[in-house]
Amino acid sequence: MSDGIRNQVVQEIARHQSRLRGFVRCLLVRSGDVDDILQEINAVLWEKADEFQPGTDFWAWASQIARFKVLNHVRKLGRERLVFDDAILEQLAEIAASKLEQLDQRRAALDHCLQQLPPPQRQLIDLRYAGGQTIELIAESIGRPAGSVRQALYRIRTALQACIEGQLAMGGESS
Amino acid sequence: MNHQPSPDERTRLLITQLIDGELSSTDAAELNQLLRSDSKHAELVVDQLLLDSLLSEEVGAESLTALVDLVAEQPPSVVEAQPATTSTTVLRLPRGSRRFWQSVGGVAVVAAVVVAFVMGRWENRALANAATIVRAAMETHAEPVERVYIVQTERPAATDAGFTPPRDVRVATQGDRFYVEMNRGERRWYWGLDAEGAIWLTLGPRRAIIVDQDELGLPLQYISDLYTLNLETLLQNFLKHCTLEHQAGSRATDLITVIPKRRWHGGWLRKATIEVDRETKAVRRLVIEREIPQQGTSTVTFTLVDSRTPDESKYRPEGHLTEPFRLLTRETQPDKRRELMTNWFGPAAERWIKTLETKPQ
Repeated sequence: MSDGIRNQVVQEIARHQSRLRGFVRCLLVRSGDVDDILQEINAVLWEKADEFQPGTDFWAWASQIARFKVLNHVRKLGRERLVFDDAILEQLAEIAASKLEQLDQRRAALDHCLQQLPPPQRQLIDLRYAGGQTIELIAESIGRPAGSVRQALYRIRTALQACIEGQLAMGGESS
Repeated sequence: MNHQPSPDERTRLLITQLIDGELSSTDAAELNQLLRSDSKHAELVVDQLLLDSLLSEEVGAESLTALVDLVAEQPPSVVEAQPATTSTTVLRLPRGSRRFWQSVGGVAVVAAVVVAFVMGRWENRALANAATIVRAAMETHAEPVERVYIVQTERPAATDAGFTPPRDVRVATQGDRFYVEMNRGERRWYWGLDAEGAIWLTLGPRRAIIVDQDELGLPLQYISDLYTLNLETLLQNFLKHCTLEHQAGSRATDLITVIPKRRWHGGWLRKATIEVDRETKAVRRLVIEREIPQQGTSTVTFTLVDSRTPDESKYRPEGHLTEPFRLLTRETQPDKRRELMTNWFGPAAERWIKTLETKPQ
């Protein structure tokens, strides 16, 4: 493989990290396992770099490899804990691969929607994601029952999702 | 009256539990069932998980390649002016008074001499006091207590495009040793310097990369310069090579401003401010402004957030890894290191290691 192609593949892998990460997460992989699987996917993409045809759709190629990798991972886990059917995972992979094509628009919409959140809700999101804290820890740090934090996060995520959908719909109309 | 959730609501609720790591096997079975029953549930699940993934990236500190951005972009510059020193303003006459003294001519000369005398005496006292406080801080930091600082780096808005610095960077330090913890949501990595100046960097729980000092590319050197906190040596250098000025701090702290003397260029320091706890003598806050050639100006603020018993193992990469793990060095896996770093941090990480030649004997 020439240095030029190698460099191109490296750049494509890096450019698609966020998309690949989202894809892995959408296949119901536990958040703690996502990065490890992503690393394995990166390694396979790198190993198979010479199979990639420059000028073709990198995402289509990479998401196929990611799909196999995740399904293998899930099958291995099958013996240890209850996981989801292959058919369901295939279905999720299909939907995720398609939705992830709009990842940048989703990200922009999320940025907008986060700005609309009232400060207490934003604080909860920060505690959960920036601080990486569990529900129990958040509850302890803000002096609220865990159930109430759980419910609040559920409502915030639902509201954010509705806001994103609204933003995407508006974007679709204007374009 | 009990509200019975609709299947859509139930799916969202279950997926929220999965996201927060609270999904039981019974709930997982129910989610499986819901997903089988109607394909629209699969869409709900993907939407929620995509949202979670984006939140992890957007809110969870930095983008995936933030560490690359941190070093690949234009070097940061100072954005925040430090507060004016109070030691000199204390002795400055109010504007009205100054005008008055100017208007009375000869009397002003006498006044100026008196002010200069008083100011000189005061400054000498302030300098001596400042040095005493810094020495006390040095002694405190030599004690076997590990102190953890949150680190903030600042850059002007003009160079902010596309750059999100890590929000959660912590330095744990004891004496002259330190290690850095960087967090992005649930992803976390650690790095530090060994006694020979090599950087170790953990990539997940089972791998660490070691980059020798002579291999450090400019970007890695920059990260190292930015976050290194050899507190003991730093304070020693402040005492030796800098002019220290004691300012009025808060009720609980003493504030020392540090300006390097003309001939000293160590650490490319331009100015530092140290906030020392009056009671414990620990450094509560340290602001370092540096001007590094070819890398520009940076302001780094270390804020004390925790004091604890040190865990010796954490000052080495092994202390952050789980068996079985691998340490990738120049001798064992020279090329793999670059490949892994590129995978983790993006293509710019190729420049982090200068060469992959064998270590000189």
